[in-house]
Amino acid sequence: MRWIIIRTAQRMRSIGSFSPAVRHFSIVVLLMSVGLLAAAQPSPPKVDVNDLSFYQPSAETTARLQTTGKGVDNVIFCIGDGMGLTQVAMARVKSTGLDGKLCLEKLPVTGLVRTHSANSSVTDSAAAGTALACGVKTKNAMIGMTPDEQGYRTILEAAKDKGMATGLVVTSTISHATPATFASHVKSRKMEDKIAEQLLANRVNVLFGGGKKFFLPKSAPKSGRKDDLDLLAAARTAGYDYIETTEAMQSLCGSYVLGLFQLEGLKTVAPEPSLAQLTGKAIELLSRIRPDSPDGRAGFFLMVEGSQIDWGCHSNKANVAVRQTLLFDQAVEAAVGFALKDGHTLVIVTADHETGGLTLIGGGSEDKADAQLTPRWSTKGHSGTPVAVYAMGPGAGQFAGVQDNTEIPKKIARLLYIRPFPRPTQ
Amino acid sequence: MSTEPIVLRVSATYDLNVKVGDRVRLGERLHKGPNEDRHPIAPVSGVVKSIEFDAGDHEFAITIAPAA
Ligand SMILES: [Zn+2]
Repeated sequence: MRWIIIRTAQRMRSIGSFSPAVRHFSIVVLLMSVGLLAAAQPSPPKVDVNDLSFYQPSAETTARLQTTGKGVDNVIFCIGDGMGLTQVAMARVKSTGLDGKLCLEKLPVTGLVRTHSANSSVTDSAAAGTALACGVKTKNAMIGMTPDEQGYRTILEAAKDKGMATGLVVTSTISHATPATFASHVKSRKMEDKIAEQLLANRVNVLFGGGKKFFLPKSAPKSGRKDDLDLLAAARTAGYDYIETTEAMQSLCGSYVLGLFQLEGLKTVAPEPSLAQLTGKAIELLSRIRPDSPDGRAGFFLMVEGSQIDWGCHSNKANVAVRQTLLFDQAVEAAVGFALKDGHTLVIVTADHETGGLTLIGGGSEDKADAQLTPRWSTKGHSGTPVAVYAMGPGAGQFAGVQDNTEIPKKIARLLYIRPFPRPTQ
Repeated sequence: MSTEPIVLRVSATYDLNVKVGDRVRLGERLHKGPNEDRHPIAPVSGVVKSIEFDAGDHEFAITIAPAA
């Protein structure tokens, strides 16, 4: 537990103890500083959380056809952080009405997932991500290892060892808990500087998200590191193309790309690329990578996270949760669009846990049923309710039914002929 | 004793035992984390002034104004 005494009020009061002239000068300097800072900074993009016009609901509500009888070449694993069943329902009602369907709801196979961690019935993203990535339970806050600190190989690492291209696309910092669990092994999710190092050392082909501050040496303004490592320079030396803008992203064509679009988490508004654009570009890049395999195609593993559904739910802001869920659904649509054309791509959509203990109450009336639905939150934290899993593509049927979160990467491993899994790192 | 507000940072994973406006007593548990964890406790008696979610650190910043 850390605690900090607020000193700002004391500083402001201390100005009051000077002579009027000095006090006036101090206040003018303070105001000028604020003014200069404001002038030096481009105004941040405005987010209207109630504007859902970016989302085009589909009139089609029938389920996508299940693909059968084909092997899995590619896996696109989409995780909505904090996205419980009610978050999905709320986004659906707000965007398409009671009878519509989000893209993710049209996937032909559905199941339920238990989410508890090794030390709590209420998991966090670190333990849940470790379960989804490594197939083992761990304590909350731990990344890619069991409670005894034994590292476990992640499904992304196993896919890479098999020759598959790999990618992580998120709207949080790229070193946040969920992406971290797919390509790093540390005792605490707070070690984002170490996680950033491991993401690069793991040579993940595509890394898109925020969190540039953890790649800057401590001497750089706004660095989040405690050492002098310049991970952007290290990434370039290691052969990564580094970019920060949508325009630069669009012209990317390399096999190793690092796109960090904010110092911290993404703003999720233009001029940043949307999660769907990032996902589309990642798929384009990953599907183009040709390893030295005899048939020239080893496939890819891509994890996409709608990181900020959780953030809206922690603040108990329904409109933020809806907007973030719809942004995530657009990314799922990009994945599904590719999978339908490709025929060898397994798409899995799930959540690490539910956030907010959200329910929808009220009954409505005959003419305007959805208008009466009111979100009600039971907590500002996470809840222990199961989450849904949706799947399509070869092997999707494996994800039907009730399962533990640790079973999901085990099923992916089986479909990719990765054995043994789970497996300790050493 | 100082009467300046105190900000406590606690994991955002667990359900909080307090809400804005609540009176807390010194030593009171602030969230419902697992028993094996060291629980964040109120370092002073006072009133909860604000609870802000910090997404980057995945924590709540709980501001407590100490009782006069
Ligand atoms: Zn959370």
